[in-house]
Amino acid sequence: MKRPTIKRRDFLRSTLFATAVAPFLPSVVPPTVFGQNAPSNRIALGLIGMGLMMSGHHRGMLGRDDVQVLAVCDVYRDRRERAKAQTEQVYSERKTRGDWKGCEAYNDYERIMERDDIDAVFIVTPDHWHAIMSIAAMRSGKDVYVQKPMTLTVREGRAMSEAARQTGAILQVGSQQRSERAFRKACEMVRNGWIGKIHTIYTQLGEFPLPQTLPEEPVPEGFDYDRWLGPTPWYPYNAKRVLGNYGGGWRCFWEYGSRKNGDWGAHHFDIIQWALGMDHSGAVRYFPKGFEGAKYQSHVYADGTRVWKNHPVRDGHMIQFVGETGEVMVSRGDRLDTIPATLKDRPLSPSDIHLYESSHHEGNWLECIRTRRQPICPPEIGHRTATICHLNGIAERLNRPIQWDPVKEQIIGDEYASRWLDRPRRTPFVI
Amino acid sequence: MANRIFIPTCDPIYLMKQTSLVFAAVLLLSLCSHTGAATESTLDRLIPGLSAENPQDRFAPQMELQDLAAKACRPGAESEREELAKALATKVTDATVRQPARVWMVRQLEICGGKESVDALAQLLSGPDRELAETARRALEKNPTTSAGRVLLAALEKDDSPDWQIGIIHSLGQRKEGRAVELIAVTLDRQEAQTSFVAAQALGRIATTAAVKALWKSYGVNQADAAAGLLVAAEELLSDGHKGDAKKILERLHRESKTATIQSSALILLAKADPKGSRKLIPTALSSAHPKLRTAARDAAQIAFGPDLQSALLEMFSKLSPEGKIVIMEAFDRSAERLVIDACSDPNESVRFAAIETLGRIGGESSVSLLLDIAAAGTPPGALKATTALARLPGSGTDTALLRQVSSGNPKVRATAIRGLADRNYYASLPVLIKCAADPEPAISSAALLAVGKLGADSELEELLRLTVTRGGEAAESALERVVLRTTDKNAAARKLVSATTTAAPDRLGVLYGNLALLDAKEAMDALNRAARSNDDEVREPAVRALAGSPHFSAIEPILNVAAGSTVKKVHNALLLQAVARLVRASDEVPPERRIKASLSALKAAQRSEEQTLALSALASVTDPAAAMAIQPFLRDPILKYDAGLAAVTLAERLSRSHKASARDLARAIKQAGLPEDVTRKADAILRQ
Repeated sequence: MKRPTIKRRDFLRSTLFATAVAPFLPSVVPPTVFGQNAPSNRIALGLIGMGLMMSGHHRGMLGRDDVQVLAVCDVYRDRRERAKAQTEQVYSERKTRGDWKGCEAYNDYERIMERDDIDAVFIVTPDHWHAIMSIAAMRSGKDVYVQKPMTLTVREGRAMSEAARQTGAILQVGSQQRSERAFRKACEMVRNGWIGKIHTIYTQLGEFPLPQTLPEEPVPEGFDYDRWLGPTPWYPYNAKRVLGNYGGGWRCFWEYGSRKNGDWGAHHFDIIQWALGMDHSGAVRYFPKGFEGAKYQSHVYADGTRVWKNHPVRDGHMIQFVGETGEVMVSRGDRLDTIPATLKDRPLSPSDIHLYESSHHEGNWLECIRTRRQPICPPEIGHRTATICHLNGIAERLNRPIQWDPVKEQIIGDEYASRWLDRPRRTPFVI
Repeated sequence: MANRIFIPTCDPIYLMKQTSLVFAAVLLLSLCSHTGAATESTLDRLIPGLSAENPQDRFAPQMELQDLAAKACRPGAESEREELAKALATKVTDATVRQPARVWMVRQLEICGGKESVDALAQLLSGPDRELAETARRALEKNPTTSAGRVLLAALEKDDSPDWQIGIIHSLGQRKEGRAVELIAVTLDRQEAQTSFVAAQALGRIATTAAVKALWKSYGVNQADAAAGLLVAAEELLSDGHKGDAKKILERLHRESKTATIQSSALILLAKADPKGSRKLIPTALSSAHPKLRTAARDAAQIAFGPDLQSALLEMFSKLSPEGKIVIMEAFDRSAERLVIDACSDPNESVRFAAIETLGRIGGESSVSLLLDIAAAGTPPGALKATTALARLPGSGTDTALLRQVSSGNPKVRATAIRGLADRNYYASLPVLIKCAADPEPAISSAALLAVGKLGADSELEELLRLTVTRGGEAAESALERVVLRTTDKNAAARKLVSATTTAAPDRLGVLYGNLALLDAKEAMDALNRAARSNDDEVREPAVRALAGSPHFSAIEPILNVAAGSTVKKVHNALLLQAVARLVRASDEVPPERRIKASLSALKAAQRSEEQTLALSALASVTDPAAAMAIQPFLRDPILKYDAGLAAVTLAERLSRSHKASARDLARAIKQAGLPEDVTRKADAILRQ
């Protein structure tokens, strides 16, 4: 067989593999040993979607020596130009030294995919673009960090997971609670049976305002609205539709996500999956609010464990696991409480289940790009979590219970509900 | 049938039965037509709202219709669904209905439409309104009937504008329309890159012999798109059980493709299509220069070898490149321990490090000695990796194997073993560890003291006290403090500490009293109370300082007792009252009356104005109306009134958030106290609120 040509990024990886430790490399090998921060060894990044959520990633990446941002992309001209200017300002020294040639700003993400000198991309767009861009990136040989929820539909998730497996791409889903100590510790307590068999879980997701049918407004100069809509149905432009804030905007609309199911749900359902050891499976029944008089929406696992959405949680926590012999409550900000209280200080022994440990979600992804190990939230896990978000959304929209086969990934006995497992896409943004 | 003759009968029972049947049929028909009429009238009622001039007015009817459609397509309600879909199909082609209403209704057909809606959707697909046509295309894509496919096919024949064709081709692909292969194949090598990519993907989804042939034909011209399409075809064939056909595609792709991404995808799918046949490709791929291909090869090996994976990997290990060895070690299980132990001596450093880490995951008792040697050698980064591996090493005999290494041998190795036991939280090792804490070898005793500090509790206290009293040292003191905090019987611990003070040298008393002050127990506080009032300076001094450093509110009583004593030194009085102020401020969980009482006692016991000010400020930290009452008399005190005024303002501001009336009363009292303007101005501001 003819030896394939090695591209720069493959060279980067193979060099690392040949000279460095493959697993856990950054934890023990100082970068200076292998010249990891040498300009040619920096991971070259493209950033797509320069909105609110990207600002943190952008700043974080600009502050690292082991990466460099080569391109930014956004359908808002002002945003991408601003991001380009910010990047060039931070890298001005590198540019003077000749380490870095500049940052391009694109309207079309395809321009980033075409570039062989970009190793990896951040995809921080509204949900309806996640799968299309991620699959394109992986097929073009790039690694991907994609914001949560990973997908807009269940079928997209299966396709993304398969694409990652086939291409060997390192894909990290932005469910960053997995990289927070308190959440990992809570999951370890549950997984090791410290509070007995879990029967009930309460979680707070909050509520978005109802979506609206909005009047048409003129599309702002420099905004590619058609591309923003992408594969979703056409609607007249209105600023409230495309706004990326948390009190409303696109997150309220079913067209671009699963509302709170996919917003906070993608974080908390993800932690629940982790704690229950269901990362490669999921719940089997989904009940809308109001079904048989239920005050809250819920889903149920095959062993009967029930997850209640928006049910009050003890001490204002985000998630509460209730077991036969105790409780674990956990929130952001490293808040962790247990009943009995002593549980939270009990250390793990080697025979206990130790979960994947990461203290920095983006850092974990970059580390895995170098070592080619699986990150803490790979696509199969992201897909299973997103599936729970989407099935909750389907049950809510159809206002009837849904029965799910997590092995075959099929809705059982409801032909028309099954149509919701994927959404037809608007031409020409079909793939 | 031909021989059967229908003979009318006059049997009354027979006639009754027939009449009932006819009646039931008529009733059903009329019911259906009534339901149909009701559905139509619902739509007629909703349509004006769906097309309202003000888009915001459309929302409620849109949601009503959406709910109606969702309900109609519930399981077991086929006639209801059909009725609604029929009515919707009629309305969407009605030119008198305004476009926004028609678009919304077509979107419901996407959810609930069947064969009854195809003609209407076909009409819209070829109509002049592009939005309606596009919405109809999506509804047809989801429509399961064969006629929907025919309509899309006809549309592809008619229209060749690239954007439109992309949508139609995609829909035909999603539907796996075999009839469309010829037409789609024509677009495969189009100049518009997206059209050819979508066409290749669609043909891949269709995956008939003709579709695959078309893709191979294009492979010579447009390799990237065709290869991607062929991979999709192979996946489809695999999921339909046509492994042989999939295998042919994948073998050729793997052989001919020059792209690592395509090769790795082909290899993984090939492992599914032909597990045995793909095995021979895996070693080469594992030693490839491409990291992604190596990862894919490992995943392919898991599929191809199935239950024989471990033996296959063990067999190929020695023949692989260092990169290949590193990749497959991630797939090793317990059975590979011996081989991985050997790999720790591999000439390649990267392989050695990966092997050490792999042992941390799969190793057991046999790995203990080797890992201890590497960790004790202290050469980074291997030592750190070995230490981490020792902490995680599974296997039931691992802890006892480590424990055996503690008793004798090289001190560095023994100390490393002790650290390993502590990292593993192996509580059963405590009797041995506490003995090691007294070892004459400093490396061993300090490692053991650290370990006891981490794991020890009540049972280790006495011996640890003995070591602290007889030998002292930072390691022993730190271990003692951690163990004291972890004791469960605090009074028993206090007794042991008190007993140690009777024999301890004066320079050790500070440590012992300091630890007593950490215990939230009556016996500890009583002992401190006694010691702090001792006539012996060498006892009193450390006891007072320990009391002043106590983190517990229960220390307030002895603190105040000592501070108020007639013989107390001025410096001790100050130290102790500062502690009162700190504890009052920090103890929100203590009832307000106790905190108020402590503040007032401190005020009374204070020998200097600085501590009086501190006590007033502590009183002001109790956000309770009783504190407001307690502070008011001091507003009239000629010496304290200014400081009391400042503290009262702070308290009133805090109270204004929870106890408004009390805050107002206090602000008025401040105003009446005749205080300087800077204070009264603040009181005014509170009253204005």
